[in-house]
Amino acid sequence: MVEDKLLIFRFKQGHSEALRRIYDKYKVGLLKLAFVLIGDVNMAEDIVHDMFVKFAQSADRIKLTGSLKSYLITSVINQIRNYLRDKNRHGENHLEGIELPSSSQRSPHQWAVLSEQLTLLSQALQQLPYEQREVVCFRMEMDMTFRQIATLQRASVNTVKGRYRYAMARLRSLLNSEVEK
Amino acid sequence: MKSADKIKRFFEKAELNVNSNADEQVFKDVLQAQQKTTKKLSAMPEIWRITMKSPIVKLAVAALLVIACLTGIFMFKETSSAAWAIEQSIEAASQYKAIFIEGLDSERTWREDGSLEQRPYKSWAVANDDQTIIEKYRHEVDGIPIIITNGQKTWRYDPNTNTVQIENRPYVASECWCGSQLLEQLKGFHDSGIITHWEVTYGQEPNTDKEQAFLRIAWLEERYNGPRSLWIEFDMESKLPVSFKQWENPKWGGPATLVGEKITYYENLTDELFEFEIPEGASVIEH
Repeated sequence: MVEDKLLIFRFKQGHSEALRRIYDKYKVGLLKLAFVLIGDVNMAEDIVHDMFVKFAQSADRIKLTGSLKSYLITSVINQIRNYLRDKNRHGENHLEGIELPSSSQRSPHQWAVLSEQLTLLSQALQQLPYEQREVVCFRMEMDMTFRQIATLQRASVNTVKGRYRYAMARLRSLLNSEVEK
Repeated sequence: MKSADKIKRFFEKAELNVNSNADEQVFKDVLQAQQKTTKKLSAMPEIWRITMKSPIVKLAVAALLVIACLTGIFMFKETSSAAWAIEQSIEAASQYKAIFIEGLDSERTWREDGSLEQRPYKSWAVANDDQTIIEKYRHEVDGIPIIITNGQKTWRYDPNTNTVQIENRPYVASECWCGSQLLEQLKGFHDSGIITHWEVTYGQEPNTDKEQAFLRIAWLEERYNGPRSLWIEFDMESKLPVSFKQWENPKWGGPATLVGEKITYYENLTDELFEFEIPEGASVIEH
């Protein structure tokens, strides 16, 4: 927490090493979050890339009311939601039937290198409604509380808990053999 | 193992790595975006000005920015037994979200004999959970509550006219918490060269042998309310600022215009402290 406060302070002063540290500290987690939420690695890369560029440009305007981690997660989530909304608006069934590339299929210039398990996990998550996917990812990947998730989703804690229960039941059946390994 | 734990483990084992060449390329873009943003330090003076303009300043800034120790109480001596670094104090201060300061304040009123008119004050402040703003605040002068803020409501009392003004907004519109955040500012001012004098000395409290560090700083720049000089006393054991003095000149000259004789830290303070009771017969003006 203190480290992040110092980092953001130095970042706002224009220190590039602070930006580098923030980037290195959070890029993998954010990439993973974006990928498991939308199931499209190229789009996940674009979203996280774009988020960091906007973040870098906002040094003089950024006003954190919470932690840096929450700020970055929220930024990525907002971009994902915008992306999904745009896709829906254009009438595309954006997440159905996406063929996820395995790491061996990836271009050498690709930013994210996915493990087999991550690909499987993302495929399973795409079977869930988006809100449920978010709840599971926030709980499992970001260790967020139900209350924090409820704030982010603008829903009640009970609604979030319900989404979590449904999502976990579905994931258990989808990943049944895998989770036992 | 519960199935939720198994899924959690599955998430943990689902790794993602980055291609280092592509990673450098992405960061290059990010860095370029930062370099195009030229307004360095633009946010910092804003916070600083807000903080310094507010009457709470005096107190807020006092909390850390200042110093003090009463001359004669402390016996100074140079020692290198333990070094003090401001980062330690930033971390120590971040453990507390409530502060109490008592000391002497002045409205720059000078008596006929040339001495500065000072009045005793007490101030209590509680930060929000993130320690980014002052959420609750109570300021007493001569034992009379003058300002109380409790979240979004502020009472201001003028004992001379027996008038209470009530506003539905925080008294301190500043984003700055007078705990670790102000120390961070101080460090930033030092790192960026705004502070022209930064000197650390060490001493010992003669009665208790407690080790102390003293920070003497000064700056000139008007945009940061300069010229100004401060003297802050840190307890070496806890690393916390425990007192301060502030002068509105760059040389610690003359009587200090603001003194925090004692700073006490709390994890929280009772809500009752931030309730305002309308004095009998007072006129109430609601905005």
